[in-house]
Amino acid sequence: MKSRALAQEAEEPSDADLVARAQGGDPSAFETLVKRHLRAAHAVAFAVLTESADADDAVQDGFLSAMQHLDSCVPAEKFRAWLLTIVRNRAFDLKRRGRVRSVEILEEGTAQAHEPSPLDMAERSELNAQLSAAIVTLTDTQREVLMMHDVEGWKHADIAGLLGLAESTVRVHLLHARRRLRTQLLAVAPNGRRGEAV
Amino acid sequence: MIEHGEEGEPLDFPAPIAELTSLYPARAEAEWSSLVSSIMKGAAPELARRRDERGLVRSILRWARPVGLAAAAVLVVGAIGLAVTNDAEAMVAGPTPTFAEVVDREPASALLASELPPNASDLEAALESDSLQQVQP
Repeated sequence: MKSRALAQEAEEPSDADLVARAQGGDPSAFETLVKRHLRAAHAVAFAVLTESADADDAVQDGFLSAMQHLDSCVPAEKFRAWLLTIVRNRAFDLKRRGRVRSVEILEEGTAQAHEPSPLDMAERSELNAQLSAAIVTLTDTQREVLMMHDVEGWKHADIAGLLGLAESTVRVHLLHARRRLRTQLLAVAPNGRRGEAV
Repeated sequence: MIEHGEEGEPLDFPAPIAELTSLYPARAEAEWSSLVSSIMKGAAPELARRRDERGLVRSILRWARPVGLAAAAVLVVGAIGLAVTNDAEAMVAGPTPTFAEVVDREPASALLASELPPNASDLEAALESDSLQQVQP
């Protein structure tokens, strides 16, 4: 079993090889890179945007930007970290634009744009609605750390590497995020929001 | 003493909120495939541009090698020809004259062979030319 896994590893081309081939315009090499890092990229984008559809947009934009600037990925072995940084920056761009759009909508007197539609409410479970409401109260970094660690199962070291923080700082952010989220959920639960939602 | 659990977190560290995973539900494989397809569709023009660019460079490189070899061969042939020509010219010119010959002074051996008595200036010039010949390597 172990030898089979090792053999498979040996057969699979490294990121550096795939990057070199993609730089020459090889579509299959780029597709392999996309498939290999798609879920990690989506997790990073989702940690920032907390909406799967928005995360899809950020991931797509991030990969396209990476393709266009593939020559600046040096060293090529660091493709994953380089890509995830691009996707994360793209997610923050989208988030900022989303905020601008929200402010414009509110200024036009359509404050109800923030309220979830009945369809949304039907699609989203009550628990998800509570979690989503609570998670918005976290800082960007707290939310990223929490989502990557508790939802995606990333290690502290990996999160620290991506965010450019010390591991101890990541732990502190995780501690505060969990405490804050728990406090928020406890505050919401006794108010009978369950009844309002249904 | 503080006890530590998994990943070095203290045991009193707040536990993960299990329900959080429901925010990020598992996606069907078809959804991931659809996302891959849209990324590949968007990247297609850039990939095509890179292929064309690589093709142009390759065709230039394909011609560069024979052209470079031909140029090198011409240079080598030219250099050999130049060297041969120089040698021939040097052979025609004969051996390099001594300093005394250049300044048109007769050496003492020539004066002795001529059986004519040298005057004082001839003697002086002959001695000077001999001493110069000895100095020359």
